[in-house]
Amino acid sequence: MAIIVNLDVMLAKRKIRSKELAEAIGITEQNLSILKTGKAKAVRLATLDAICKYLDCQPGDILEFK
Amino acid sequence: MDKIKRVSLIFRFIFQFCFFALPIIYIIAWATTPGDLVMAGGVINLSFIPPAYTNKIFHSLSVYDRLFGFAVSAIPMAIELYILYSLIKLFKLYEKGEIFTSLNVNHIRHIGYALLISQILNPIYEFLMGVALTLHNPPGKGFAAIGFDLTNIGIILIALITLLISWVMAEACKLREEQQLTI
Repeated sequence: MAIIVNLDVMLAKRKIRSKELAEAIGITEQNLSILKTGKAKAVRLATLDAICKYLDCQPGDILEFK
Repeated sequence: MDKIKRVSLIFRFIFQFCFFALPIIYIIAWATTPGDLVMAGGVINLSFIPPAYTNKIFHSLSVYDRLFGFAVSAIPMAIELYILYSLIKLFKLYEKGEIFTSLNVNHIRHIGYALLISQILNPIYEFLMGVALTLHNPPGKGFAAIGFDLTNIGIILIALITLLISWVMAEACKLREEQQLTI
């Protein structure tokens, strides 16, 4: 049981590159990579808000509990 | 941060100098024993014979006695060298700007344990030193003493405080890691 980050799936669906998203939401590519690989220990609501806004999706599309 | 790096560099040089000088001082001191090692015009006066034994040696120390004494001195010397080695490693990390890492915590913890071990071994060291120095005394004049004074209590307290600091640092490392992994 864990939280799965489906950010790479959403990026593929929207045909957006990591670099573009990182620049748009104001975080480094390295930090975005940490988020994508599930190594992050916490996600700021502001970051989640920016990602959802840019990818036009819901938090549930990015985070999943399995 | 630059100030920390600069000061750490100076301290590392001092510790490195001590690391290489310490064994040499021990060797010279034992070569000149029982006379004290007086340096810098009497400013530095080193004696590796515990005070309890100064008036208990009734013979001139042979080469064998000196070697035995030096071997016994190797107990505290090894611990002192280990502490210096850990300090060199610790300050090298500070020089690189690495302050809150698990490596720092390990070095600080090792210094604490080494200080504690030095005080646990101290009675054994003092006893063995008595054997080394008074082994060839006339019959009935052999002497061994085990001392425990405020200096020992002070070192034990420093060791415990160092260990406590290492725990605090470990918590700080966890906080830093959490902060780094918060996106």
